[in-house]
Amino acid sequence: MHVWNTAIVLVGLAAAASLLRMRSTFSALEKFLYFMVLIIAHEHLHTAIAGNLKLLAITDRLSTFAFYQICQLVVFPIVALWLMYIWFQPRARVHLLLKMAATAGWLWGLNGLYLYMHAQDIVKFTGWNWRYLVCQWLAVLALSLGFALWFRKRPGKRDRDAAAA
Amino acid sequence: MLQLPERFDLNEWFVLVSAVLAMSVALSLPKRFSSAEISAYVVFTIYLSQTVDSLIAVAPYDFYDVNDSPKLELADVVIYYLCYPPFTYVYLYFYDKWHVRGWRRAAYVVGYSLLSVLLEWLANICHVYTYKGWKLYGSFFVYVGVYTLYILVFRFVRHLLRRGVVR
Repeated sequence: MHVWNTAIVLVGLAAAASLLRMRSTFSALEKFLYFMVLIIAHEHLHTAIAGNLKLLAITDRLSTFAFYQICQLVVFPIVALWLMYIWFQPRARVHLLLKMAATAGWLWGLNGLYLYMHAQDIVKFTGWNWRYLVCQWLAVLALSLGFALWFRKRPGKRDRDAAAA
Repeated sequence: MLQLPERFDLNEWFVLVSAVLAMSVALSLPKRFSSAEISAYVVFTIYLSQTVDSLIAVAPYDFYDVNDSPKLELADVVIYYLCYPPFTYVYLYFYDKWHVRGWRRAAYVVGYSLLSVLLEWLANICHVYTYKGWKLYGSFFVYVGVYTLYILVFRFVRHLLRRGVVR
């Protein structure tokens, strides 16, 4: 497991570094905010669905816990942030079909990672399946996109209004 | 799905009264921060509290439970969204208003941490938290770290706003 933990730490660092390349569409504050909003939405929905309904059990071992939490708190939200970045590209630049294909690919990759964690005994499926995953992550994406839309319109407008006043 | 309280008793009342009081104090203060700043402080507070809970309130550590059960309850959501953020807002509001600098900054962090420990002790008495190996004095050190982090986030957000990177 140590090799996989090292690998996931490196993946996490690479994912975090990749945010430096995310220019022009999101400001630094937006990236900071949306990253946290993705984690909040995911943690709440994951606990409410997978935790409360007892669909998924995390093993008690510390080594697997580290792998699981780095995935949950670093890798998943950063990849989801990149997906949000794609969704915020103008239609002329990235076609809607391409955005949908990216979302499908993202869900497919997430499902693969959950299956991998199940195979490695990091999590135990006690009712969890790909349908829950799709519903949960699409809800996370919808909530985060909703917040981003609100943030990009409302605060800027209000601040300019306040400054003008 | 979101769990409703097993019984609406002392811990739910404590959460409800705390939320009303905290929100009343925060909303009664004159406007000081822009909506972008408020969004950042609120989101960061929820993010931090939830991340800490998801790291140390579950197995393998499992130091404490919040409210009636280890599951996510409606009262937990009220704590995350209506109790913690206004508390942070008031903390940063007076930090900014009083221009807390130098040794006063350390005193301010320690003072607010002690106040938080006192409130946590009251919450513990009202069964909002059920410790499973956690010690109250440990919370003091966590709060010192958390309130220092809030100041860093406050400065970071101000820095970004001064650079004019928020559209």
